[in-house]
Amino acid sequence: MLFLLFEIGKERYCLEVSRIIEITPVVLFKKIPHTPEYICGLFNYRGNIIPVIDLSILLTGRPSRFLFSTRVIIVDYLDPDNNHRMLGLLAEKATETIYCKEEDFKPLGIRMEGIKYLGDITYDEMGMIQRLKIDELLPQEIKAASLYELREINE
Amino acid sequence: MKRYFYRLKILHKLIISSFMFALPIFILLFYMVSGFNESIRFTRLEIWGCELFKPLENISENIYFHQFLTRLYLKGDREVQESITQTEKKIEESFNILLKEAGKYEKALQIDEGSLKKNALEQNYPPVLYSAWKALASSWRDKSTEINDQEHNALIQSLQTLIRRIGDTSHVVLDTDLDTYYLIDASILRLSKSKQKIGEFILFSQEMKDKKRLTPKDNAFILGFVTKLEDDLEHIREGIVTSIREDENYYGENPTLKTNIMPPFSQYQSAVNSFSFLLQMLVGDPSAKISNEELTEKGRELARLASTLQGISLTELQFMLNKRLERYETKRLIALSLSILAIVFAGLVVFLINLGITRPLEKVMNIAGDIASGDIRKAMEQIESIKDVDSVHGGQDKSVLDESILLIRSIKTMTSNIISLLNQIGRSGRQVTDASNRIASSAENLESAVSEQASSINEVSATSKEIKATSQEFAKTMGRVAQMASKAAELSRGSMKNLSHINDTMKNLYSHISGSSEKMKIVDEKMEDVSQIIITITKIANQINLLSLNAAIEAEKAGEYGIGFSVVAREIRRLADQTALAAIDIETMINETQEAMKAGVSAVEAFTEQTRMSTEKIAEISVDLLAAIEHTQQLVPQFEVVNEGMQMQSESAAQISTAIEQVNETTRYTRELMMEFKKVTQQLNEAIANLKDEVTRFNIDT
Repeated sequence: MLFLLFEIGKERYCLEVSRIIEITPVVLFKKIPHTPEYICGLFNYRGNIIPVIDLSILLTGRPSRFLFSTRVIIVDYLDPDNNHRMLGLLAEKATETIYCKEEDFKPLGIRMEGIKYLGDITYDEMGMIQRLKIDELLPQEIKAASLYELREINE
Repeated sequence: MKRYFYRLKILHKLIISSFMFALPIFILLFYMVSGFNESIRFTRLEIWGCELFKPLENISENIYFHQFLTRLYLKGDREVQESITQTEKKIEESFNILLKEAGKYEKALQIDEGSLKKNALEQNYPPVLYSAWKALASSWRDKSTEINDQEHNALIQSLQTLIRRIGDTSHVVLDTDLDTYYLIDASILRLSKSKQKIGEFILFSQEMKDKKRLTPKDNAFILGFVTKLEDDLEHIREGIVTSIREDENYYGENPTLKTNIMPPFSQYQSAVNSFSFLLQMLVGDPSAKISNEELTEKGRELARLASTLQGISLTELQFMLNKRLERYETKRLIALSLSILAIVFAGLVVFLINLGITRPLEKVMNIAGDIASGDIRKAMEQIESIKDVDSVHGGQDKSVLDESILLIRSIKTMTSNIISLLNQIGRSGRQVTDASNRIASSAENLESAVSEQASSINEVSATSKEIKATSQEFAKTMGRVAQMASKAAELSRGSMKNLSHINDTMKNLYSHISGSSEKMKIVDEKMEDVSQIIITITKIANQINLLSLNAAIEAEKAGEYGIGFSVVAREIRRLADQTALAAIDIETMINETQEAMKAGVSAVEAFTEQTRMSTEKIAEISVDLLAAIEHTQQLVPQFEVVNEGMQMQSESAAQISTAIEQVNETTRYTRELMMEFKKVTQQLNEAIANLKDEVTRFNIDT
């Protein structure tokens, strides 16, 4: 399996490529008032208005730097009603891929109440890599309700 | 003597005084007992005398009878032989009794050989009498009646003498009590005489046997005899009656006296009366026929009665005398035992008094000893242990208390006073110690303060000296400054020219620096361009990377068909990455250079500005310097004024230094005083410690 590597803070994370639709450069987002800070805003992806989440804010509370390697990863997101939706994820150093098998991932060993998106751990010569669970990225209170609404509008 | 008396213990003193008191008592007792003894001896002598009277009377009576019998025998009447032998036997027996009794009492009754010889009565010594009798008894048969009569009479005479002698020496005639006196007088003396008379009369009657008629002389003799006999009888009667009457007044009534003595007396009286009547009849009537035998028989009867009466009287007498003796001995015993009891009791009382004095005294001594040795607690315990100090004799009435208890009470009060005094002393001592300690510490503090003061003053002194020296030096320096100021005034005039040169140079420098600043700005602009190019390169590399990533994603999605494409995509991405890295390196260098340039430009700009300002300032300074030079020239005279002021200050400092020296001296003196004070405090402390030691010698923990 192919995984996309990226960095949040100094740590390396990965996402399974099979769920990635496309990787795009950063553009200006349309800000949405009264939303949590980690929601950067709305992004027009080939005519689709999709919400973008800043993973750095979500994981460390610090916004992503605007580097060349900072990119938006468009992923296929499965909402609670099992509908496929698109979600933008803002991450730094999203420049490399890595081949891994499912059995290369080892369990985290600890579990935080309410934080469900942190997945298992694998490693390479550079160090440890943590897998993020795409479907769990959005907190429960946000849900995809608003996104769903957006989608409805877009369609 | 006085000192010796003080050395004696109370007991000894009491004993001595007791002896002094007892001495007259003993003397009186001695005399009293002696009186009793005298009376007892007196009575004993009488008793012993009576003992001797009995055999003597017997002997004398029997000798008369013997004489009478021997006459008969010598006349040829051999029938009387048996009677003679009997009589001799009786006499022998009586002599044996006499000798035995006399042997016992001869010394006391002064009838021993020596005493009798002294009174020329040695022939009356009982053994002599006995030998005389022996001689008479053995030889009378061979002698004539006359010689025998003479010998018999002599023996009777001797016996009578001995009886009188014993009567004298045994004091019977001096008897003190009326009853015994009269009894003795009656039954011993008178009766004895009567018996003698009767004896003589019997002999006379025997003589008359041979006569036919009574001569007038015979009649006279008979009448005399009768008169005498009656006279004696009257005496005896009176004596016996008086004795019986008085008997109860002396040591109680003797019940046997009357009953025993009256019958024989009555018999004797009637016998005497009848005998005297017979004799009177014989004398008055010559015709009367009275045989000699009858007369002799009557006489003998009379003699027997007399003897009986005498014997009974003597027995009674002895009984009464014994009673008196007993009474005297009882009295003596009572007196002696009472006296001894009294003395013993007095001794006991003395002992008790001694105990009563010495015991409390010993206790008090012990207590005092304890107090002296300091163990007051023990002393107090001892006092407490004497229970009767307060409880017994209860109350505070001093008049009913023994002085010893008062003494112990006083000791108790004294001890408790001592304890409270000692406690007070202890407390005071502690207080004084505390106070003195405080004083000592204060003194030490004060001393250190004074020392500090002294050192401070020394410092001040040194400082003032330094001030003095410094101000002197300052004055000198000021002098030099004044000189140099005047020199500077001269020099500054020369400097004016040099300053204008500097000004020109600075202006040239400014124009050069301005030029270089402009050139630096141009370099900076060029560097900006380079930077732009690099950014563009980087962007392109980035886009390639993005492209290759997306390609890889697509290839992955394409599965097996995309494998080859994905490899190409990876290669492209690697190339893009290298390009981007190179671009980033160049960008970094450019950025650094650019920043350095910017820093250099700003530095040059700042330098330019400074140079410009310096030039302006130098111009200003040269104007100021001119003014300063003028001021300096004006300053010189003012420096001199300051110099004088400084010298005055220096002198003042010297004066301060001197004053401080004086203060220092005073401080030293104060310090010495403080040392002295400390010493005194220490001495006080020592004295208190001594006092404490003295007090702690007394154990007053109660």
